[in-house]
Amino acid sequence: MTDAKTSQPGIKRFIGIDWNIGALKTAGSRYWAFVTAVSILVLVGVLAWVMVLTEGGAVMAQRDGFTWGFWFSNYMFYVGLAAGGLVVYASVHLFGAEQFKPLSRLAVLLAGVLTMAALLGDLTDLVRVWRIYWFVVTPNPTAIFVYTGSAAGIYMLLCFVDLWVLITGKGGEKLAFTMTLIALPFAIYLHTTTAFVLALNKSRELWNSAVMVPIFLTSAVASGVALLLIVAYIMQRFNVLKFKSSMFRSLSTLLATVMILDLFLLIVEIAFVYWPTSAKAGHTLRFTEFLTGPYAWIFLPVLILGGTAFALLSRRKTRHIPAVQITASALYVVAIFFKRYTLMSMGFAIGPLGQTQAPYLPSLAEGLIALGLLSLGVLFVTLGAKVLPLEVPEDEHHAAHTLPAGAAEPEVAQ
Amino acid sequence: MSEDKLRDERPENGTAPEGTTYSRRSFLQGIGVAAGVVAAGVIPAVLTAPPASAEEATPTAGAAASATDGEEDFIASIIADDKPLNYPGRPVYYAKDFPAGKQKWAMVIDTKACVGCRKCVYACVKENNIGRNSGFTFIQVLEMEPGGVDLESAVLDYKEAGRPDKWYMPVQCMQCANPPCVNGCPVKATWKEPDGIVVIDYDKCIGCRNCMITCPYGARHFNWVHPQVPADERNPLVPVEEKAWTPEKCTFCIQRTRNGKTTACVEACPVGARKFGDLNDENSEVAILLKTRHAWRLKEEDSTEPMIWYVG
Amino acid sequence: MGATRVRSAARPPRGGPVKRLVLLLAAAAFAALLLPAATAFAGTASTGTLLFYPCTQCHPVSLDAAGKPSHPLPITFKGFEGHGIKLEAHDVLGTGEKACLVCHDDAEHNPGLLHAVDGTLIDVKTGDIAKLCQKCHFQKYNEFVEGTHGKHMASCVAAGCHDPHTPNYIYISPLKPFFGTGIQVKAVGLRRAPFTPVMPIPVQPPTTNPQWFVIASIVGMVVAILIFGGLAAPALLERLKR
Repeated sequence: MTDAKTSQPGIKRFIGIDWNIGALKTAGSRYWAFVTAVSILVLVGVLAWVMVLTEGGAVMAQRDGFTWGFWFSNYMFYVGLAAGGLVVYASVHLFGAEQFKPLSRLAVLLAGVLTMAALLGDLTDLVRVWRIYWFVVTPNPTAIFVYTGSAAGIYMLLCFVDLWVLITGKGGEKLAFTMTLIALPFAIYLHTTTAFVLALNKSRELWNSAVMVPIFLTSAVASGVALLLIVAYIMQRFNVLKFKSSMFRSLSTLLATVMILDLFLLIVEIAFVYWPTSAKAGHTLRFTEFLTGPYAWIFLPVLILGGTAFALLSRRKTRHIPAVQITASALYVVAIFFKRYTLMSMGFAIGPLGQTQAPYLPSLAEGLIALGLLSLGVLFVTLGAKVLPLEVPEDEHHAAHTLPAGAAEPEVAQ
Repeated sequence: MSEDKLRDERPENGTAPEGTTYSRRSFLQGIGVAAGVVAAGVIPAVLTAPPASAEEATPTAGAAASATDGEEDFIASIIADDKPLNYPGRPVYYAKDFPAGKQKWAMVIDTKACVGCRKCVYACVKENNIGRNSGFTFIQVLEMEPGGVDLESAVLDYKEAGRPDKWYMPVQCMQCANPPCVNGCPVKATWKEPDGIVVIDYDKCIGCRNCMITCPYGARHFNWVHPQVPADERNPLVPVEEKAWTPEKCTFCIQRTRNGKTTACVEACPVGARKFGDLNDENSEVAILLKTRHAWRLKEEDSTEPMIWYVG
Repeated sequence: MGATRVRSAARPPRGGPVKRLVLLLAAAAFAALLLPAATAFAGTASTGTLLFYPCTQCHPVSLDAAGKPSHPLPITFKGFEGHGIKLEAHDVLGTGEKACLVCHDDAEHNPGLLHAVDGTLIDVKTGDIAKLCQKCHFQKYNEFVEGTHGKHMASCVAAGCHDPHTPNYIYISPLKPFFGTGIQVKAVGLRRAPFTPVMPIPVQPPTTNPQWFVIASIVGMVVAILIFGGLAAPALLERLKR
């Protein structure tokens, strides 16, 4: 950045990034009211977590038959959302999808913040959090948790490092490209291990399927891209960033493609469960709980909302309308949220000894912790929108590969 | 190519066609060499092949041995498979005063005798300091429909026992030889001891509950609440307080079996449906039952190799 | 004991001394018949121990040197069946007295002795009754000896396993229940009459929500909602105005 920039009031340089603290000072009362409200929700979440630590597990609704709860459903959900942005960002460098370039910094920020929320949710479930040092002392190479946990942690760091690289421009195009080469496979690795947490259990019949991995990947990319689209529109509405409508259209096309893949894999799974030559009582009894049993109220919306979202985006003539795009994306994010809950429930609805468990609904403490984590994520992104330079400068759009590595930083467009 | 042309190009008898260096003689020579090579290869193969009656060639300990060879082998192979896994080299802290011996523990449950009275459940709760408010028991007795082992129709919360139209199957931790829980614990807080018992280190466990997810028998139960045991019913050899926010499960009464006693459930069963013992001892009840009866295991297809068999 | 209506011998009968004796014997036999069957039991108690028939109540038995009764036991016209013991499962041994004699030495000798496999006699009270069961149930006996059948008890009939007359019955002595619902268990037979098990299924502990937390979270949520509402209200009003 030029000296002129740093001499502007309110810009503080720290770790190579120009933090626009002044923007916070000039922010309106509505902005601060929103931040305050969100912070209160974060505090309520922290309070709930403190209560869990002091009162013990009795305040959670998880019990012997339903061993994992809302935190796990959210973990899968947030980790999934984090993927989408990164796929979009990676496609810029790996597949030359230049139209998504203006989204790159926002996408990476979202990915990092979401993964952080997911990991914190995991930690809030452990009442004796300090014992996780055993992960480092005696990790078990056959336990998939070791790979998932480390993958999520490294992925979060990778995202933040990537964001730093993007903003500071250090290393230029070459480093950004290398980071993408690391980050995208790592994102796929992260989702594969998260799917493995479910799939590599011969004790849970509906989970024990190899198709879990592609379902996770497609759900993740679809929901992540959908969320990215919504957040991009919000950023544009509040004049933080400016995008071309063609970019949104391109994003919607990508979204529609991944949506139909995701829905297709879900249909494949249902076919597997019910087809006469492959149907087993263990599977059909469990899945029927989700089609006509107590979980139907949350599983059928997955199909209905997902199908509606795809139908909205499938027509080329109307795909460019922002209302259509936002509605379809919102529907799909909600559908995937429900899908994560049902995915988790599929492992627990009927236990390994054939006993039906009462359906799980999060307790007050669990709900508030989840709300607190969501608010924390919103808080980070809201603050980051003001403070971080998320706008990708124009020059970078046409940054040729002729730029020498480590060249002078590109001029800021503003 | 026309036949005439072919005929024209055919060489005369006994000679090779023009331009070839291949005569009948050299062809026959080649065949001879090939035959020699094959013979040379066959001779060592024949010499090293094991004789057809090798087993009869080596003397066996009497005719009776061949009849029981199969039985001895299968128990020996069960014992050989039941190796310690992720064992940290020392027994778990609540068994440090009685380390593992040379035994390989196994249990056999007679489902013809079991009447579902749940006395074993009760005795286990008392022996192992299971919290009276914890909401679980190590042993779960399932009321099964006759004609199969259909878990999907099994009833756990039956109010009437001893029904003639049902059979009863108690399920508890099988102390598997190939335990998914031990393989799935991220911090190695649960492991298989040398005598086959799968134990949980309550001080190390982080409470992630992955072991409970992977167990195909639902044998591990989590202490969501602090276990409460009346002071006059506490067993001093078994932990209580530190089990909060950790899973626990049947340990084949490690505090009893390593001190020469049998498990509490075996002792409590009024009809003698439970047999517990050391597979290494060929006269133990479990060894005899495995050799003389049709014994089957639950969820054999999951290849967890459980150490609890069912007969009857 | 039921009321016996024996004609008092106050008035001498019309006949001679023989007729008198016959009448006396008939009266005695009639009285013997009226002995209630309640005293004839063989261990249908639920305490798990086998009770023994009080033989000497009716048979004043004294044994001579050879172990045989010094005089033959009085045989009523019902014989062994007069004891009123109903056989179950072992009724395949035969009908009437034949079934009893399979195990018991006959009345000419000493029914308090049982025939063992090798012909020796086992005392019903002090001997190893299992040797008698071995006569037919030799396979089960072998399993019993090696420990794979039932429990390590002194004999098949010891302490609540098999009643010899109704051997398909297994006694289960009741225990103090776990959750205080009362003693239920009695006997379970081959026909397996259902009973209530000792312990019901434990109930999962309920989810607790401490009161202070509920109040604090309601307050926090209300404040947050008010602020959000305050943010949204002007925008909504603007739209309505338009």
